[in-house]
Amino acid sequence: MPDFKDMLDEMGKPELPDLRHKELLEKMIVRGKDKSILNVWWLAIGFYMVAAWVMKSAYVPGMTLRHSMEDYSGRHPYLAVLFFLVIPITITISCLFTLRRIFRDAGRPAWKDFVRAMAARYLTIGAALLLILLYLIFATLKSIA
Amino acid sequence: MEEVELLKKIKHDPESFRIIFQQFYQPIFGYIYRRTGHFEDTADLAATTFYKAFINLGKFVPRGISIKVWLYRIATNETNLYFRHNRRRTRALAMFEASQASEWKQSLAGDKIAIQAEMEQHRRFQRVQEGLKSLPVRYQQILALRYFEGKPTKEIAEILDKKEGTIKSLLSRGVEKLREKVQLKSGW
Repeated sequence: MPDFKDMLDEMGKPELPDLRHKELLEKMIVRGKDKSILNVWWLAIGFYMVAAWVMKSAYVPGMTLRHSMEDYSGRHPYLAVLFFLVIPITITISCLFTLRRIFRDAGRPAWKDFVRAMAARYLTIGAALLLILLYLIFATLKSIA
Repeated sequence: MEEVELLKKIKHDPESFRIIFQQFYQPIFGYIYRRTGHFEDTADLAATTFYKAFINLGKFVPRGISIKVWLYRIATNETNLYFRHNRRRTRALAMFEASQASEWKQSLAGDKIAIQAEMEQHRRFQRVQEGLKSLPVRYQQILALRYFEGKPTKEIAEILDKKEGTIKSLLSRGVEKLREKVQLKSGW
């Protein structure tokens, strides 16, 4: 028995080389990124269009954000629904599922810590909801008019 | 930097978690690998360990234990779960975005080759590791921390949140069981 203990103490152990994947994993964890079939950059299309309409309403006389949106949804009804409803809703649902899974995987941490760590994902949901809200406001105004 | 200061810094700036990651990823990865002997599962368990630590850091209050002990505790729990659930992987890595997919795969493959080459040079260790893996988890964790990581009894007691006397007693019984397994398997 003492011999076996000594042998365990003296036994050579594998030492790790400098791990190359360490830097990449560090970035992934700190940024709280996760794999998703949806790229959040799809949301940028909607925001780009809204930004263009805002600029148009500021610099083109007689143009308003509402007119631009109505004009676009009149000419491209399916694309408007896609960029302002389908994509934001899908991204929101995907983010919510991911957050739920991460929350469970991380052993149900305190909400404050979780929100801070997953800030990027919450901001994505916020941005998606903003696009949906914009679309619904203009759709409601259109139906009233 | 003092741990308390570091924790305060991380609470205000989560990116400072890099300091902890840089300091402890390698030893934690090594600890898990020396227990499991499986590269991909180790990468997964190590990622889960640091991922949980990152999210739960706000809850961590250094009441007598250091960040290092806390990380070893998380890694031990994750590895124990892995063994208890028939080595089912957590798939934490799959969760992360493969924005640099090819770079990621290349670096992981390179690390695997280097680590396996290192492991090949330690045949005796491999036999002990195989014997260890066939023991109940309560012995595995103590023996690995003591003989693979070279931790003193006091630190093992902190990591496992048990009394030193309990550790000594489990260690003594564990060594005997391990000796039987190793001798039985390889005619040591």
